[in-house]
Amino acid sequence: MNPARIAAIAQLTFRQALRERVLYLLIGAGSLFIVASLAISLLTVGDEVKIIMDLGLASVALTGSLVALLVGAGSVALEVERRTLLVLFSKPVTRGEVVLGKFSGVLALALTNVASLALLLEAVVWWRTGAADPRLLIAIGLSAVEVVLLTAFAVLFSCFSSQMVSGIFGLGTYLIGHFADGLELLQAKVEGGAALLVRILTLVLPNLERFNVRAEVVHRLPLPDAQLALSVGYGLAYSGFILLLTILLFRRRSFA
Amino acid sequence: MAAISVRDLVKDFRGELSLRRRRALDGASFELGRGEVFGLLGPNGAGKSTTFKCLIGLVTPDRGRVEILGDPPGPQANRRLGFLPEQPMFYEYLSARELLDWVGRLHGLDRVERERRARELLERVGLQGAEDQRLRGYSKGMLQRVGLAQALIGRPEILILDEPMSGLDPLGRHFVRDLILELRRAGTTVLFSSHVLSDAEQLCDRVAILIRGRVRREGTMRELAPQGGRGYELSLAGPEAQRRAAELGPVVQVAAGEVQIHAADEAAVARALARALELGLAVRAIAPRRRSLEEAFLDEIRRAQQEEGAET
Repeated sequence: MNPARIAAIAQLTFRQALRERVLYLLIGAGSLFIVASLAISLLTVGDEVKIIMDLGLASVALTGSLVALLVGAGSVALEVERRTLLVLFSKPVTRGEVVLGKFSGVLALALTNVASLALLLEAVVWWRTGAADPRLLIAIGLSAVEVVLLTAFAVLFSCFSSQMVSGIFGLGTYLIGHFADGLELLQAKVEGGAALLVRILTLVLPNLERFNVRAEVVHRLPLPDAQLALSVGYGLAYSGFILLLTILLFRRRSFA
Repeated sequence: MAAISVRDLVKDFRGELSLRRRRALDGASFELGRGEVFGLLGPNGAGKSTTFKCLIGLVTPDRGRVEILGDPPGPQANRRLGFLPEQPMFYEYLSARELLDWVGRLHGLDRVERERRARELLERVGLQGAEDQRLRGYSKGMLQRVGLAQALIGRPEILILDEPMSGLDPLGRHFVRDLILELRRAGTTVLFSSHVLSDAEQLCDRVAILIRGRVRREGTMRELAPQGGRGYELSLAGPEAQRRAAELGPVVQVAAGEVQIHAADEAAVARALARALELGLAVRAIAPRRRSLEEAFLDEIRRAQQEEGAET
């Protein structure tokens, strides 16, 4: 693995992703939602700031996730569809460097998006209350870990299917991942083979709700350090596993 | 050590939506010596591009072995190899200079070397003045030139060109031909595929004819298109020659005011020549009749079709 080559692929991926219209649509929608939360908060009595924080954090997390999934869906698939992969693979690069370069480029873009919207949210909170809230950064930090994991999934799907199919798989993973708590509840209610199946799904599928601490942050509930560390460790370890799996499988792929 | 060695290569592909497998390579074998210009010829679907993809490591063969300067295909071998795909596609939002800089980074060149190589190559392929224009605005010929420049940036010992003349105008083809000859003089091994057999005749030391994934013939031009044993041709000019040509021997061709007569051997040449002089006809040339590469190529295709017919 050569870091210079990974950086070269990542930079080109970042630049390529900047040309995706969906990116600007998502950033526009996310920003609009954060600003609109000011107006929406006026409809409530007494909890205006909580409404702004809740809607704002949801907007940061959702936009970051969608950028990772939709831009990541095209990261490798578009190279195959546009046949630019022929030039890339004829150079002294390993498949692992391509996967890590693509992952880094998409992740850099998705995290830039998270950071921009987080800044906007802090600015709105500061404008409304006269002070920025550092606790928001905890929720945003965990959203960033979720973005890392979703980027890894998006690159995995993109290595083996078209942009559209990768996008659908990615969105499916996102929905199932946020339904993982529901799966655990379901596991307690079913028996036999069904219980085993649900158990396997619970173990295999990512639990994205681990990265959702919006309620705790907004309502100032306790957030133990151990829980946060476990969530971060879970996200990073899961991402590492998905990347490793992608590299191993991608090394075996032939391009007709 | 051979520059490229391909042995008994087999590759099957499965359709996107079907389980039926299509055999793209069926035991293809050939070898290139260092500094050789080698043409891989074959009809559409013969397996030329798949062979090239096996060489650069984009496709893993099901069976067989590939070696490039002793290494298996992959990043290590690609350090010493340059590749131009058929109808190359690049990142259209980059300029030629940016693309070459990026490819140089993948080859591990430092900034100064990248700038120097890019300048040098852009001049060599005749793109100076257009180097900062986005590739989306480039013509097909210009893209082919950028493709050649990116293939050459790592100073490759082996250059693989997939249909380098495809879709080029006469000027572009002339440019590519000259570049291949220049590289041969510099000792670079060149492997290229082409539909244009006259290009292969002009450029190649050796060629292989690939049909349905198998090399049917391989050898030098002399071996594939031997000069001897096919008689001679007399070329005569003028309307009188056209009228009386049949008196001299079988007429091969009549075109552009000239007529070609076939003579089976030296004695037949002497007889036809004596008769032509007796009739006062203008003799333009006498030349041995050469079996063209095109004839050899078409013969192989017909033979392959006959064999296939016999099998089914």
